[in-house]
Amino acid sequence: MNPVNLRVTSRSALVLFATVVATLIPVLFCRAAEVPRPASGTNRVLKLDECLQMAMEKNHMRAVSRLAVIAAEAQHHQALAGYWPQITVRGAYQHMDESPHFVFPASSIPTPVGNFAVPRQDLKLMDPDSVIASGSAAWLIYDGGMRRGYREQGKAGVDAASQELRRTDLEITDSVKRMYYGSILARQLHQLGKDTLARMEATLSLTETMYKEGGGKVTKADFLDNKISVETLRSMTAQLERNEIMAQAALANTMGLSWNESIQPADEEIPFTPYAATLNEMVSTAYDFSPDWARLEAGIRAMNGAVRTAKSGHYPKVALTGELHTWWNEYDAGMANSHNRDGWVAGVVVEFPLFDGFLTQNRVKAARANADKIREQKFLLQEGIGLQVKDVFVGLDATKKSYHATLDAMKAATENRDLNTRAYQNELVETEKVIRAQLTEAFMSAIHYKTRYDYVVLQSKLNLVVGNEVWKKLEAKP
Amino acid sequence: MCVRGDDKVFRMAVSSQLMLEVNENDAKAALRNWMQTLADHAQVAVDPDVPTLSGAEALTRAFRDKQIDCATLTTKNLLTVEREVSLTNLLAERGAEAGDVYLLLVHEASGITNIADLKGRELLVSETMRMSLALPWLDVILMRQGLYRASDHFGAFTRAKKLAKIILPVFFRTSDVCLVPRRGFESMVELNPQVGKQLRILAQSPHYVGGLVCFRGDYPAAQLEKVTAGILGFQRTTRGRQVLTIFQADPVDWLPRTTLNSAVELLAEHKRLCASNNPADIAVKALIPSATQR
Repeated sequence: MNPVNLRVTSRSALVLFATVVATLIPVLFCRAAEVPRPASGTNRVLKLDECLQMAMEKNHMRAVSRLAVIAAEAQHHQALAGYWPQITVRGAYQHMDESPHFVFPASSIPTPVGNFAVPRQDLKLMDPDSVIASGSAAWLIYDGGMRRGYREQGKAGVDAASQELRRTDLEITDSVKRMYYGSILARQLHQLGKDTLARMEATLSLTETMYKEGGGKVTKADFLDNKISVETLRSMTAQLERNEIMAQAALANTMGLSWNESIQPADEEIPFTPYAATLNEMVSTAYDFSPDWARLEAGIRAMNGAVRTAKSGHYPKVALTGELHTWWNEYDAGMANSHNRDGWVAGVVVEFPLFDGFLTQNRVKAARANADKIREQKFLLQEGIGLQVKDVFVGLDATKKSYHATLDAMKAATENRDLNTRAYQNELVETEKVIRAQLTEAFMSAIHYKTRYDYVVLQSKLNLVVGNEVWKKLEAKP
Repeated sequence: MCVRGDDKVFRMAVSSQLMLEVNENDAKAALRNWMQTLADHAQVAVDPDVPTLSGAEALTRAFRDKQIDCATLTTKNLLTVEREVSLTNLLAERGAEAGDVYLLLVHEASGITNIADLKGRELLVSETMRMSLALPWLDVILMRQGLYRASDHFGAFTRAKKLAKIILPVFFRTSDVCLVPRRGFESMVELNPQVGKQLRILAQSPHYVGGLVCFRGDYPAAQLEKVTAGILGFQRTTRGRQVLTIFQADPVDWLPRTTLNSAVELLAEHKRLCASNNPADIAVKALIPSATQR
């Protein structure tokens, strides 16, 4: 045993470890909940599938998108209502201040035997009180394409809202996955920090005893050097602990749970499941399934409908009308006679637009311009989606290489630590080499865990860009 | 040390062979730190002062007078002390896989083909508790071939704790032969493969357990359970593993008595062969099995 060689404890390796961990802290949580939260009231352990299922049930963003679909469907049905006849039934009671009268002026009727004088006649038409019941119907037969245009717009609105709901689902899935695997990473890093701190504290304790009570080879400078490293590490470990707590709270928040709940991931490690597909395959499949692409195509259909509706302003409108009435009045003469009490009317109405100050023409022009604008945006989106997929694809490829490299580095670091420990037992290396090897192993493990996290985040991002169907398509291929 | 009245405070001693080439104050400080750390973890009252005892007599007296409850000692000392004091509950680094094999190494280009060729040469010996049976083994293989004991066969002895000081002189051919533990040699070869290519194993011993930890037989069972649970549990923590690493030790575990059989046989044969200084007699005796082996 030679504990006297507890000199400088690899400050350079510790600084490197601190730099790596400090870099990991903000990268992990740049999109986490903004408001710091206190310790959780309840804490559950769930698998990823359970988290996703719960998020779909409880996340409020989903409720918002679902309601938007319901509203769009209602608007679509409003447009369909125009194809049906409009039937109205009315009932009324009226009381006039006095009965209306018809006065026939005095006149004379010439006859062969001389003029026959007709005196002035004052005819009461009806009693002041009347009860009237009527029904009317109007049915637009021809509208020049107006209703079809509104129908197309309504249907496109429903499609767009459905794609928005799908996008919300994808965003929720992406957020839950990032937070779930982020929690695993935070737990792993915290454990690394705790283990490293425990090792360094044990070393510091021995260093302190050696400098105070030993033979003089270990000095106070060695102790203070060691103490600086340990306290720096303690500070970092406190941050890692905070990250773990916040990650679990952020996961619960993303799932739509209360602020005082936390979710612990059931998995111990972040999985690595690489894919095998070409960039062109991914991009072409993405165009079939991207919610943004589908929403834009719905927008084009809506604009085409708007053009049709605007064009209908040039065309006549033809409608059938009908009316049925009956009224009750105590008077039985005048207007209120039996001939007039009940009746019906049927008719055809034709409306021709002759001149509207070029309103319809410009409406059509505006609608066409909007439609063309969206068609141009489609090209932009096509390139944008391709570029997004390419960015993620290249990122996945680079991260896969990093994964293998960091895995090899981690294994080498573990082997290095083991070899140095055995060599130290046989007095072949000094204590510092063992400590440095331990710190390097922790450092490489942290890098590797982060790389695994980066890979699953990119995979999730690809799902978000193109939709889950991409992965099912790619996994189904031999 | 004086006889104490109760067994509530755990007291431990270490063999001087564990503290070779270590400053006494450094050793005391390090052991005090270890005991206090163990006490914190195991919630056991301990005496932080760990005496260093030299020789079987001092250990026997300390155990008999109950001045200590536990000690690290060589296997040879264990067998000697056990004649007078009951010792039990053996622990050792790596438990049932404790111990090592000793290797007698020469340079490939030295031309030395058997141990008789080593007469008058300088022997470098690794000196640790694990190597406590190395020289007795070397004596036995020399005497079996009708040669003198190692102290008479070799021209000079150099002992050192650092393995590099033992192996590298032979590698660089400034010395002729060295006696080292196999695990240490394998670690060195792993660091420098050319060492394994240039050095040849002239002789190899069976597996021996050179050192261990034991408790006095009359130590109260309840206290014993608490202390051993604390020792075994502590080394499973990160902090405990680090303490072991710094003390250049492997985790300890229960040591089956049967693992000491090879050492018992070796020491018995060594004693029998050493009883005669005449190489001829020794050679004859080496051919005759001892009474215990019949």
